[in-house]
Amino acid sequence: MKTSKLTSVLLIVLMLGFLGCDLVDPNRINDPNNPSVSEVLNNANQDQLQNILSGLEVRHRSSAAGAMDFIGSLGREVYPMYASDPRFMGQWLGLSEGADAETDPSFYSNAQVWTVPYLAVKQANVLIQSVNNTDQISEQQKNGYLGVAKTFKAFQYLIPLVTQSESNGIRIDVDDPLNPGPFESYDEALTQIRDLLDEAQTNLQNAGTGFNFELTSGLSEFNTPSTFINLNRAIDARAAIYDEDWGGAIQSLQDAQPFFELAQGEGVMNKGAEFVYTGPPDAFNPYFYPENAETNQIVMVHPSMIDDAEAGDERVDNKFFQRNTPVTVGGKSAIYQDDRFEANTDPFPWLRNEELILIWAEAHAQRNNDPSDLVEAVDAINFVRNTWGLPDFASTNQSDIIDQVLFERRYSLWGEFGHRWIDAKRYDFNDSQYPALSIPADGGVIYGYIARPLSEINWEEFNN
Amino acid sequence: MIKKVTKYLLVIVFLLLSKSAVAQFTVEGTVIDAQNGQALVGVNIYDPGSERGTTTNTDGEFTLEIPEQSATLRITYVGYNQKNVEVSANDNDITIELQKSVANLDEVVVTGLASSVQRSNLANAVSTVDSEELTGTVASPTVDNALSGKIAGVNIRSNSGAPGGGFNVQLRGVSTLGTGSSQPLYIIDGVYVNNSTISNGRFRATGATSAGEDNGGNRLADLNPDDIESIEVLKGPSAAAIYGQRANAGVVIITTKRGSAGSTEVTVEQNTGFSSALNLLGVASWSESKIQNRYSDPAVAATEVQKYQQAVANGNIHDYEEELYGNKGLLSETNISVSGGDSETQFYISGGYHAEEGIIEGTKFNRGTIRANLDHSLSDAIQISSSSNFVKTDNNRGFTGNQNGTGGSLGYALSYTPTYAQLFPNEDGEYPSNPYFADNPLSVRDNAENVEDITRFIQSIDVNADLYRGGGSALSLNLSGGFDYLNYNSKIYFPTFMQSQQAAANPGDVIRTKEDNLNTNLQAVLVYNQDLENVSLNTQVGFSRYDQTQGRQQLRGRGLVTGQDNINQAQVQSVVTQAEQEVTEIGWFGQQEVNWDDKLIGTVGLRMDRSSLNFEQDEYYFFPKASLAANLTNFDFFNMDKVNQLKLRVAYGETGGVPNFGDTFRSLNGSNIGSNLGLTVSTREIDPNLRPESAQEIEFGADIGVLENRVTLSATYYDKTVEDLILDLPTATSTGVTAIATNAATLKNNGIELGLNATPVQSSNFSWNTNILFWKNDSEITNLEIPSFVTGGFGVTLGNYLIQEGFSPTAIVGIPATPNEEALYTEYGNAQPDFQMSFGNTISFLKGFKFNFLFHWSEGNYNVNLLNFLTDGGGTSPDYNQNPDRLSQLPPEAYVQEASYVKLREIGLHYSVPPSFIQSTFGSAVRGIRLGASASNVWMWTPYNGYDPEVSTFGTQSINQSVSVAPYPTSRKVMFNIKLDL
Repeated sequence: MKTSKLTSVLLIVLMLGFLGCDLVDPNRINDPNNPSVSEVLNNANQDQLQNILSGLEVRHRSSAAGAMDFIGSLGREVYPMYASDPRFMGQWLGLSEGADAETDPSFYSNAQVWTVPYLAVKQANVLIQSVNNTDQISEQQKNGYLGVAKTFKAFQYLIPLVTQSESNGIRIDVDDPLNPGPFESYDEALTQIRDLLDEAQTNLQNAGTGFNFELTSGLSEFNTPSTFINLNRAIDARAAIYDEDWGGAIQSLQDAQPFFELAQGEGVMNKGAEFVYTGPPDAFNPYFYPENAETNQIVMVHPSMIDDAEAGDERVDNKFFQRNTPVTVGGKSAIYQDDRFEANTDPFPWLRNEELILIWAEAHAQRNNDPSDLVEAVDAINFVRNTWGLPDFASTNQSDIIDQVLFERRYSLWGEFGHRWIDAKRYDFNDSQYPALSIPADGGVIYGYIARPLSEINWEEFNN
Repeated sequence: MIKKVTKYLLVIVFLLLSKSAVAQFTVEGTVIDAQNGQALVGVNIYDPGSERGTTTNTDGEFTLEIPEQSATLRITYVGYNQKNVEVSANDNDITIELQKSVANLDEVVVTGLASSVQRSNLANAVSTVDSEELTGTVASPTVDNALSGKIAGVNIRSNSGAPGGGFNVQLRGVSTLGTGSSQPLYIIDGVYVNNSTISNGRFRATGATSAGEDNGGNRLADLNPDDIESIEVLKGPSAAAIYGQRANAGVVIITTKRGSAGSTEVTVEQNTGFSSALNLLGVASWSESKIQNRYSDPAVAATEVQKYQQAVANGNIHDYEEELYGNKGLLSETNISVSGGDSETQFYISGGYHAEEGIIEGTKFNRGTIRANLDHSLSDAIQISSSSNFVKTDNNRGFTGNQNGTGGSLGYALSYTPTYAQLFPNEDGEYPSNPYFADNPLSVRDNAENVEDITRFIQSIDVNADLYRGGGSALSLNLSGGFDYLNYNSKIYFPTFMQSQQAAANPGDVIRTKEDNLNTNLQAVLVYNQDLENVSLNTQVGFSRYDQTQGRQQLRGRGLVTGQDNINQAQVQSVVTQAEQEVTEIGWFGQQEVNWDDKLIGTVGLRMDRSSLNFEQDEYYFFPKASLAANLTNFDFFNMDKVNQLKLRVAYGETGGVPNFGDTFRSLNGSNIGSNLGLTVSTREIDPNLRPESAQEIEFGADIGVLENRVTLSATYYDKTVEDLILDLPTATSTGVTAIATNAATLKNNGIELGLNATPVQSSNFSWNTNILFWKNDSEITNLEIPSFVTGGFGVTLGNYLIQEGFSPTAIVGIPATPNEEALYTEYGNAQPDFQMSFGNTISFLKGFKFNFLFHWSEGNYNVNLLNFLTDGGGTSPDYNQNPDRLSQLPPEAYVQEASYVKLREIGLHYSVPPSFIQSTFGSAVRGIRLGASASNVWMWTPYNGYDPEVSTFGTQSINQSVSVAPYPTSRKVMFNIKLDL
């Protein structure tokens, strides 16, 4: 009797449990930690669009700044003295037996100049899609987002483009992960990238007088549609010299005024776009090292930068610091470290007027429609040289002038992106004509390009 | 006075009785264990002639009246061989020795969620390890460690030699390629327990690449092995199907000790010993010419030579390996238990404290446990059981393994530090900078901290109610449930003055992690038993629910105030992680078992499960099973006397594997830039038709016992297929999506498991039992719907794993690529052994001595030995001076190395003091005394060029399990043991 009573009670409790709550049919569990993609693709509000746009700046920064030590090593601007992994020195400099960036589709860190920039492209595409798929902002405001998104997107395409071989080229249509577009040759890709920049410019022209979003302080000179057009045109000028469209480069620089300014002085040289680093929750400037830091995990200045420098070049004093003791990794030693940053929250420049002045010089020297072009080029070179305490350069020989531009670019743009290797690649590593491009191989290899990454090869093979 | 009178009276009565009944006598006797001489309680004594019987009392004694002049008594006892004893009126005071049954055929094995069968009727090869096998020889610190080499079909790999363990347990090969859980489901007294490895963020501070490189211990380490009564291992889906979607990697069912009715028993056990390095490698010596060869810059070389000369002149050449790994750590383990009870209530209460120091100074593992297991019969029909376990663990695991740029790994720094380096602190206790690496390893050892502590409470309740009983049938309801609460706190701390910190922008680094985990599970089962003529039926249906919640925070402070490790005292404060997890799972199941007179035993069952971890959270997935066992010896036609058991068995089952939390969400990730919060699009996408992984297994086997089961052989073949393995469809990464999670592969494991147990010698003075296990598993990817790829390790230039149709998923490959061959890259070896064998022996001699040893052989497995790569790079490999050219080979050629081994895992010699001696010395206050000495990891043979072939720098992984980067070397543990039964 006692038993059956107790069991009845137990059964009743059990039944109540089953019926009284979601014991047997619990609710769906959503990600408790993050918003979902579908939320922003569907009628996003202004705050959500701001988040995606700032996300684009994050992607833009990790791609462009993150590639410096890699490309900089290819062009011997720096030594990647990260002792923890011998592959930095061994693979990037080609010191290890068998290391070959041109044939190895899994070349060490190749994602930094392929996947990472394409993540920014993807982010821009999601932003563009979200903007096109919302009615919470006006058409004019939409144009602001679109102009910025397309400008960054175009910039990012340039990174894989300049690191791949001209014949391999890159993909431009990458909207559908299961159905990517074809590989476009170097020239065709550049055309499409510059069309995209033009499209962005049109968007910006229709974006009114102000953005309804915030850009980081690294873009404080470009935080209205009209000033952002300057940045857009500056990027197009860079793309134009990659395209050997010298007239186009000159035109774009003219359209980039007042950002583009032909004058001398440190302030004139340094104005431009920067990546900001503010520390947690933001990141730190990855290239800041305390002076004389006792570490073998550091990017060092390549000794040839010191050996080849002109006496009295203030760029050398400003950018390089001579340590008490050298750093030795992988059998190489270097004693100069990067001295551009005073703190790990200093910004990292990615497009300065100094580069635009040198683009102006190069474009004129190359166009050489008449002797005044060469004079214009030499004048531009001297704005830069005089700023850094160097005497005037004088020449009327086209290839000497081009060589001088490339030499100035080496010191002016050191450590900002890896311009030196890209310049050498643009000129087909033509040492005899342009001595400024002769890069010491250090017992390693100066690679001509980076092989097409394995994921792309696999995808093509697997789907064809 | 009165006593005397009664004695006389009894004598008179006895005399009278013996006169009146001539053909009658009384047998008096004691039943003892033949090996250790201990009295056996509750042994059945039965006289078939008179159909009279009795059982032994708590002292192992019995008396039985026999109506004849002589009789043959049948003595039976669970776990011991049956014995027939002749008695007669002249021989009526006897001592009966029972031999432990080797085959243990009448032990029961849990097969359903609320039922069990006798092992002799079991259709699966379920391995059971009891407390004697588990901890009888050596007091192992953790359960997984104690199981090594004791179960066929299990690959247990120690990831690290750090105190507190860290184990990778794989049952019957690889069962997921990384998306599902690679580890078996552990159930302790009905509670689904947490066996995760919790990341303390060490990799962030040391610059390693992933949380797996934190070198954490898996949380099974919190369980005191001494509390365990038995462990059952359901190795594959055929045995584990009733556990449904959590069982792809197998199920381990742990039952803890419980009290039994009788007088209260107290056991006190103390183990004391020390640990020391099993296998130090040595370091290369230095010379001027070696220095000249290694430094291309003549100026630098000259300085180095000068340093070398100075060190030689001052006698300052140091063996830093010995300095770092040469510590002798103290070991102590104390266990006290009290158990007993009456017919209604039984209890088992225990307390244990394990304190272990590592071979690196400052590393340690301390665990305190308290357990209370209670059983109570509320009435004849209702029984309630409760098991409570409180655990407090603290663990200092030190700094080993991978690092980048911080020197935060002793072995890594050691690899690059020559013997002439001067690293010892000066009189003021200041450590010099290490010019050869990012930090001074002695300073890292002495100043950096890696501490974690765990507070844990595991509780289960089980209620069993008989609802109906009569006419040979019975219906009962079993309600059970429990929870496992785990609170984890850790600190990683690098003080400001350390070399690597001084080189950083914000010197001083502290990472603090807090994690709360709560697992709860509930189960309700109706069981219906029916005994028909010759056939018994067991039917069960039930419901189960499992919930899991987790909250995790990780904070980091850099740029610390001198001497401070509080995040508030940091210049740069960051929330590294703040995340929550929530999982809910529902299951329904039913099972029907038919037993025809112990001749044929068949079972069919079905489970259906849903989980919030699945992409389709509401969808139910089905897991059927069926099995059949035939006991040929129980059939009438069988007439081979020498064969005691001949069982053929076959079993089939299906199980599932759920994805990891978060894998099925399409999320945006927060990331800050300047003063703005950005949301970035994930690089991963999810196939909208994603299904959970599922496995099917068919198993055949035979169990044979001959010569009164003194020789038994168990042979099993299995074929396990895991389907719908979730893999990343690698996209062209130019799409900004690097992977789409999709069901893309099928994996086959097949293997054999053999167990031979024999007692070649069995006498009262000497007996020898030997247990030989052999097992092998072959894995192959039979279908891959995505392009072949390599995974794990540090890339294909150093050697990693190939996932390709027609190849084993644990194949280790490396450059050069082989575009014209079938395999993508050159194959250098396989992480999975060709076979494993173990050889366990127990020798009892001289009435009370017991000698045990266990050899374990793993053959044909390979590791990626990057420790060797590092030491070659640093010129410090022990054979570098003779063989400096490994570095000029392709790295995988030189560093994918054979890691076969033979280990003497356990050895022990114990002596049980004879009961007669105890009785005469201590009286009844002491029931038993056992003294002994034992050691684990005593000896190792291996061709491998490292501390221990068992190693994994990435921790517990399904595939990426055999890469070594400057690991914590393995220790040998020697212990002295005393055990008192009071």
